[in-house]
Amino acid sequence: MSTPNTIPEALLPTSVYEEEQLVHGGLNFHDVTEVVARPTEEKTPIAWYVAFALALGVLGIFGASILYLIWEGTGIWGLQQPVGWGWAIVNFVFWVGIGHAGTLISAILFLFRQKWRTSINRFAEAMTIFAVACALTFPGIHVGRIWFAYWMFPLPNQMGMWPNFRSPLLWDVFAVGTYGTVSILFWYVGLIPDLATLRDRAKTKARALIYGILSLGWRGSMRHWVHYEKAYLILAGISTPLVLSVHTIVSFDFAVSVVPGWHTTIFPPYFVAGAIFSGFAMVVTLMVVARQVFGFKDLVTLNHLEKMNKIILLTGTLVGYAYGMEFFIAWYSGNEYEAFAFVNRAFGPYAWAYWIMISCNVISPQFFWFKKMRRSIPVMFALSIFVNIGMWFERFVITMTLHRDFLPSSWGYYMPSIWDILTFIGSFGLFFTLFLLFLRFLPAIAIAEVKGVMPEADPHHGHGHHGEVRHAEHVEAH
Amino acid sequence: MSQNHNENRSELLPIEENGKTYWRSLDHVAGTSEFRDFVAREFPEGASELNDPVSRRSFMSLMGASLALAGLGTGCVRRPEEKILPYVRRPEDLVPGLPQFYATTMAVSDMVTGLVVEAHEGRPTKIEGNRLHPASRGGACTFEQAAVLSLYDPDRTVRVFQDRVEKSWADFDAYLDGLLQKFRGNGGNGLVIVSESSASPTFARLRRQLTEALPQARFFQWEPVSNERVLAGTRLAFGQPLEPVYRLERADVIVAVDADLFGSGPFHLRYSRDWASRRAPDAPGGMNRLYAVEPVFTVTGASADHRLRVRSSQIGPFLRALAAELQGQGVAIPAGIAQAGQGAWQKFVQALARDLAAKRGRSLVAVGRFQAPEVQAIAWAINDALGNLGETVRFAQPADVPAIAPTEAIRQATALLDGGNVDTLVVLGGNPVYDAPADVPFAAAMQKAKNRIHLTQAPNETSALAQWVLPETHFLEEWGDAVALDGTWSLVQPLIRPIWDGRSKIELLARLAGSQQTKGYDLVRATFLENQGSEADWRKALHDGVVDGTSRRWVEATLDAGSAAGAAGRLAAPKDGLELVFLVDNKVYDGRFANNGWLQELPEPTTKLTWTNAALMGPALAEKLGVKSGEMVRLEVGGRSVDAGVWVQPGTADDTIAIALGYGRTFAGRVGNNRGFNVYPLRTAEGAWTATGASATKIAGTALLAATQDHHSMEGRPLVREANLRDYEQNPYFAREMVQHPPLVALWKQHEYTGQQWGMAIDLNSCVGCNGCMVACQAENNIPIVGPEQTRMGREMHWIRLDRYFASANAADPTDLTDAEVVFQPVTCMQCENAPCENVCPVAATVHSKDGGLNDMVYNRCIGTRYCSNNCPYKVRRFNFFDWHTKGTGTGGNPLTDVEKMKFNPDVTVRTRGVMEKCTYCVQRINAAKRDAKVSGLEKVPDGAITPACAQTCPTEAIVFGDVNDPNSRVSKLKKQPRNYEMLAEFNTKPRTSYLARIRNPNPELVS
Repeated sequence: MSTPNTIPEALLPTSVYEEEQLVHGGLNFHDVTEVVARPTEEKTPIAWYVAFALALGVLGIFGASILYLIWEGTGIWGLQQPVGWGWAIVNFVFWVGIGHAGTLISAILFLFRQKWRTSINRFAEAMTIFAVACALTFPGIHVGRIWFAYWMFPLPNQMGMWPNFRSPLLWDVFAVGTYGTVSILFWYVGLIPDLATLRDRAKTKARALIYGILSLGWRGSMRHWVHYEKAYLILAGISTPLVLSVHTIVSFDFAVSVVPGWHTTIFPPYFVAGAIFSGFAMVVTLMVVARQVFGFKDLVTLNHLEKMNKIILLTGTLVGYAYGMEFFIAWYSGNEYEAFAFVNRAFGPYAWAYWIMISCNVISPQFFWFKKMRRSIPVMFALSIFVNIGMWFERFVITMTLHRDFLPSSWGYYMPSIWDILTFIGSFGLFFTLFLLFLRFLPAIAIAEVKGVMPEADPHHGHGHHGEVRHAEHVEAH
Repeated sequence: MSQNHNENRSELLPIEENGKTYWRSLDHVAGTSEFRDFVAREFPEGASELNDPVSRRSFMSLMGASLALAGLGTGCVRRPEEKILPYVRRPEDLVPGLPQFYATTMAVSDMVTGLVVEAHEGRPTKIEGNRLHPASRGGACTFEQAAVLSLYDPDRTVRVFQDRVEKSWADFDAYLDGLLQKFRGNGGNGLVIVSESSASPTFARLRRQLTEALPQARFFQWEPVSNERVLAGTRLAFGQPLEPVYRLERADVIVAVDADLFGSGPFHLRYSRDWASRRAPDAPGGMNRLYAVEPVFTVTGASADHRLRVRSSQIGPFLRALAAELQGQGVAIPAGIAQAGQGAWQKFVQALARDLAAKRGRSLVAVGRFQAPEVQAIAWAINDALGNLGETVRFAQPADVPAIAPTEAIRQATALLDGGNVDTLVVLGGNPVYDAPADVPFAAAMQKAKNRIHLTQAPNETSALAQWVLPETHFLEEWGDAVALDGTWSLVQPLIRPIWDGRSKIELLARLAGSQQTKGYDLVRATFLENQGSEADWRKALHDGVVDGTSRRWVEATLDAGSAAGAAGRLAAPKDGLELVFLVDNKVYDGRFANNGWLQELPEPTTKLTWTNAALMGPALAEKLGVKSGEMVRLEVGGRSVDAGVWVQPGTADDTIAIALGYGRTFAGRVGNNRGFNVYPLRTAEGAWTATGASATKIAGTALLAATQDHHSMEGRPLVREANLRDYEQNPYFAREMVQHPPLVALWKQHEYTGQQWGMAIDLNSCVGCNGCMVACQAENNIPIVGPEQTRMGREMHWIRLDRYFASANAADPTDLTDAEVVFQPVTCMQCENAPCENVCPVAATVHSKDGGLNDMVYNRCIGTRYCSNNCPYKVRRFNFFDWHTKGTGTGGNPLTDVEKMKFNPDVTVRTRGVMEKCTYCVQRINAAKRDAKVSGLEKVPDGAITPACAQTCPTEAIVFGDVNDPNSRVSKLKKQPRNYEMLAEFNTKPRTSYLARIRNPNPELVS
């Protein structure tokens, strides 16, 4: 034992200090397992059935809307000239954006050793995958001839045709496809130790068999852990650039065009910030409910939520900066079409949407400057919903830029049809159906990872001195 | 010349296989009384049920069909059954796959235009103007071009019906013989014939024959839109009815006084062309100057250098004030004409008078057919004093003018019918029940006739009151002849055997007249040989479509100054208060084309309204009435009232509401029923064009008006570039200098464009915005219609459109559109060399062709992401949101019948749902010309061998197409002109279509 370190607690960075308190309620390893695993093993509560039935109903609306779309054609939507993209693309970008929080929490925060991520990463990753599933539906169904949508993939064919590699839509196919694949892998690899835990706790043969297959023979040996940690680290490394690339490329759908109001270089960073913003807001929305219902309050503490709210504040302000900068550049560029597009956004026929966006995305997060607000469950729940609404409207405002471009003769006004609305609502059915299944059958919090950041996991736990010194040792260990 | 070949081919017509006959064959299966009713109904396609999708009748018919499908054992999968019959003996000149062209003539009341019709395997598909015909000179207007759609209209009269029960011609002939026997006995007493007007010499001959055979029979010709006021005006001025024919190419100053020279009326295509020939700034003889004085915008007013808003009832005082000013300029106006005016227009009148006085013999004051004869007479006095008679206007003796003018004719016919002594009424074409003057109760009177016979192309409001409804042939199915305004004799020859076993007017008239000949061919040929020459001449006339040297001898007209002055004195002092102006519609004319989807969906040139008319009023009046566009207003005149939707139209005269005739039809068919508002109930014989003392009040309700353009300002963008002549002379390159941009560089290596490369130049100076190109494109390229609801959503499919922008004439307040200037700009795919649409398509469905450098659209490859359309700066791409050919209003949601399918141009793909489409520069024509050039051993396609449909039909030749790599081609020469500019070229799209800037030639006195 070296000389006791005597750095006072007050001087230590908060994160280090708080790491010690990531899990509240005096839970030990067993308690953590119990808390997380129990919801998947207990008798299914009636409330779950009710929620699931509701979600399935909404999913039914989604399915029916899509079937009708395929039967009749994209004309059932409000699309027209000059607005060739409507709610389908708005929803696509909206869902992809929500999907961003997962990778950010899993990968970037992991690489930055932000241990508070462990309580929420599983949840956020699941959300990512389900959001990406919702997102991927839209570009598939929004095309005029759905039965040929697969032509967007570079498949060998008798026509000898490649897709057009200059098209941002094709880049989208690769970007979102990669993102979806890596996210699923990442999520699944993270799940393996916990699936093994469920297998070991299984009371029925069926459960043992299914979880046994899914856990790929995990026994928790040292060798398994070494490989697991390496694989996890590599996947985190692969995912990190994806956080930036996916929404960058989604933003290219707009930025690469010549449409005034779309053709701007700020789009990639602005889209990424917006995506993280909306993703975190969605995690907060869902987490606030889930920790209440499933009793995860000791694992997902107010400290976690506060940290997320800080990120919401940061990214919301970034997005606000981007809105302002767009206006500045539109004026500074001296391009009359560009300048008109932005003035028209704020004061034209869609001004209502623009100001909803500004209120929700720029003004509402500013409440998080106050600690009390950051730590108030009702406030954060309400604000996170506002942010979700605001971010949907951001995509709406961007897409609707089409309604007035170069030739005033072709200007129009887009109105969604009932089918636009039903399809959008229906996509929440898909999301919640998957989410409820996830909550019912899989551990919603990464058991192994949470244990890893508990004091008991520290090799020095229980051996050294107690009190303030322990913090110092911990710092040294890193 | 095509008759034999058509007869050979008629067996191949799929009439017997179409939906109708198919239903009828179920009769044996279903056998119910309802079903029999359905089959025998006058409107067998269920025209009246269309708006009610689950009526009992359509339910029964569906039930019948399902029953039959089950019982007839056709199985679950029905594949189209196609029989291919080879020719045993191939008709001469017919190569399957190659179109044939025949000359013919179409007459829309007195608008007679020579045409050349393209036919594919016996199906006419495309109508173009006949270069040899003086009214056309190669151009064709919207009515003529859209006629091909009416030919295949499933709502036509398809059988002979008596009291809505199907009969045959044999039944009718037996019936008619019975009647005629009686009439021959009593000299025709009790026989009344009401016919459409006709420009046919054969018709006139048979009419005379009829009057000789049955002297007691009464013959009336009624037409809601006619030149009766023009004839009355010349009678007042010159003592005899004369047909004025303008020579705009000779006029330096043209004053169109409530005259839509370019929009409607006989010779409007020719007038546009003659005017445009003097429109280029370097035109020989200098640029002409056009003044328009009118109550509501017409295409003529939109093309004018100066336009004055004048209420219709003020036109007379305006002319008298002009005469007074001219007197001041030393022009010898006869006494009693001039009357010094007062008011806002004085400055305009003074400047105009000075301009006219300086151009004696080279000016023209043209008054439209809607003004009172007295007003016309004043104008003739002015023209006479200016020495214009014989110079810029010539007079022709009208041939075969009925003794009674149409309005008087319908009045007399109605009075006779109302008297109850009419035994038999024969209505030859037309629709007097719908369009007779409001104070002439024709409909009520008609029902007092014992026997009522209506020969009609399609059942209409009049047929609904007739007992016998007879199918009339379309002009593409019949033999005929017609005389144009200047007397040119031309022939109507059929392109196809009558699809529905119809007879033409002359054939029925010949029967009534007891003629030996009853075949159209024999009748027309007999008239020809009698008047125009030999068998050889006949063959040549058939080939050319026109008879050489038949234009009328011009009449020397001498002004009867006293009569003209008397007329001027009789002119009633204009009353204050609201007045109503009735317009001839640019799309449905007087209502006869209401069931033509191409015309219905065409945007009206100045309002851009489709599928409807509207009460047009200026912004000030709208404010006074408290109404906005799309709200409803009740119009009242003389105790009659009509409710109509409001459209605020800049440039409308004060206290004037203008509304087009021809809408609100109730028996037009599935396309035309209940579109817009019927204003015939307000139109009296006296107030046929202008009704004073009207009132308008706002009422509850919304009119869903479908306009293709919602925004009317150019927002200060350099899209249509224009300058005054003087500024142009100082800086001819003004248009190119309007946009400054850095050098345009590309990121990657550009395509190389060698060999023949296609391009287009559109002269905004000569475009009058007539819409001719839009219908030409629609017919050539199989473009579907989408219906009013979809048009309101912005889903119309036109590949070429005419953008119309208003600019305020008020320099102080650019938002004040009380007085407005208008510009038109035809916009179609620019075929950009750097096409923004191409690189965004994920599946490479729109790509550049190396050969010709076109931006090609590969329909089969398109999956419909619509990204290309978003990225098109010109927004010229059109998307098939639905399967428009079955979903568009044209079919009421039913699949196309085989007859409707006959309209398609086989050289152009019919696009499916979910793909993007756009202008191709008529690539099918390019390829045909390249093939022909290759066959002829030419290395290159000669200049002028390719003419896209839009360019072909343009009456002013504003659109020129050709090889931009050939410095000697017409298009290259135009592109070298200083006026040439490319729209949005600063985005480096390198458009192949460029525009020639518009030059206005204003009177320097009126330029502030």
